[in-house]
Amino acid sequence: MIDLSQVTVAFGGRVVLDDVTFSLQPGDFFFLTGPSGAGKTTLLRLCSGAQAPARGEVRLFGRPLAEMSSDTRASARRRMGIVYQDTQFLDHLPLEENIVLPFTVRGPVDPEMRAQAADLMAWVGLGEHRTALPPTLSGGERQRAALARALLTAPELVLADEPTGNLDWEMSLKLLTLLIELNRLGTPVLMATHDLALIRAAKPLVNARVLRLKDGKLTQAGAAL
Amino acid sequence: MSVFDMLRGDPGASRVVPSSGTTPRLVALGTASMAFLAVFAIALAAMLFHLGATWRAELAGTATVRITSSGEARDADTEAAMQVLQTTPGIATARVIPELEQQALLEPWFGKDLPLDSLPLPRLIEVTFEGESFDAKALGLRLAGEVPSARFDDHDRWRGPLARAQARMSWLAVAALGLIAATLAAVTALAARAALSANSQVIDVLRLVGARDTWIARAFVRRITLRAFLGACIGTLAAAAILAAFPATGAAGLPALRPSGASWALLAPVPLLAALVAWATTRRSALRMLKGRP
Repeated sequence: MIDLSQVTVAFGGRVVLDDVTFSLQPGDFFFLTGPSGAGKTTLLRLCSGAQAPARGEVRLFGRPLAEMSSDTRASARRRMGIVYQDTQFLDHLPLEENIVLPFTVRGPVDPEMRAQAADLMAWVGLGEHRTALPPTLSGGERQRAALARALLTAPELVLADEPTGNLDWEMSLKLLTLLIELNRLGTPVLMATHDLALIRAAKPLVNARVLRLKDGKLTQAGAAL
Repeated sequence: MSVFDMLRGDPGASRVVPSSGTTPRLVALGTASMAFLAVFAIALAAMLFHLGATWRAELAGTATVRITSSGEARDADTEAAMQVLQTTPGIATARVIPELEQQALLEPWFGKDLPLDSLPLPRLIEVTFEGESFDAKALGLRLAGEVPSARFDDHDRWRGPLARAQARMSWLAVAALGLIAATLAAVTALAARAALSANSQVIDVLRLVGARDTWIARAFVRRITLRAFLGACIGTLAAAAILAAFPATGAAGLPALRPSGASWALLAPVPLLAALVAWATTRRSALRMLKGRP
């Protein structure tokens, strides 16, 4: 589904990812770990097609990223559920409108879609905040909302960048359980986290593997938990 | 995305861009100014066209015969010239301009008390033709042969320069309208870029959830185009109101700048054309700018 082959990314001469090779296939569950600045977010952005490599090849759903038009990249993103670390919302729209945004950009939003969004919002504990504007929410609430939005369209794969960073332990476990359930249905998950306790908690539940990044290099490429 | 799709709108696309920001207001102001100027350029062009048409109509189909002899010969030459004119096929009328009328023609230059007797003025015969195929050159040659003191003037030497002057003025008006359209295009292109730059976070979010560039562009294009249309309507109405306050009749031999009757309809397309220019330039700028973003 996603293949990175000898990929290097540099910003202003500084190498952020160095010769990284990685593949995400159906059924995979990867934890991506490493210290801050190791390149975790950049690797996730490569996987979502939001970042082009300086060298190497990125393939999304079998197609080289370099040959994809902006429309084709948009189509690829519609097949993904993406949660970035800086949870991004349209601050002038109520939370519910933000959650249904993946449907909005595809066409008219019908009541069934809104019901789906309401269910997901209730599940992540935001049922009471449907009309709230994103700036009025806490960091944890925004993170849960971002996850609800990412899962709304039943994505073929999930890319999550520190999705539990602002959540309490209980909510973190709840979120992890949801991702594991999705994974059991065949949805591959790539989740960046520095929470080792969460990774340990996942061990009895899922056959996950760990990717460890340090200074832009993969030092541990897919070891089992 | 056609202009009709844009006008029909997409409630989803319309909502995603915050309605705040000064860019749309500046677009409305800029477009209002351009529409205001365009209306006056059109009114001026219409006036010049009307003036040229009047001049041409007055000069076409007429000629003047001047009898340059004096004394008793003048009357005989006048009679001979009239004889020639009356026997020439294709001539509708030929009349000697009376002295009083001739005096009235000269009055603007020499004043009321002009002693015509003391001036070596030629006698004038006004000739009108039937149809446009009249051979004025042949008449000129015949007159020169039969009445040597007669000078035939078919006004051709006046018509040419007037037609050229009118064509130049018409091109000037077209150039002014072109410049106005180009300025409007530049204003809206800058506005589109400013709006997209100010909403980079919105674009990031929309791309994150899989929005296509054409969909993102539509949200910005629709807003700017509608503002441009609104501004152009205001500018057109303001200019039309000022034109309506102008006198309905011209002065000093010039036609009125104020349009009359169906000429008002010439102003109607201004807001639509302004919106079309805004739509095309905003869409092009938005798509180019989005294409340049990762």
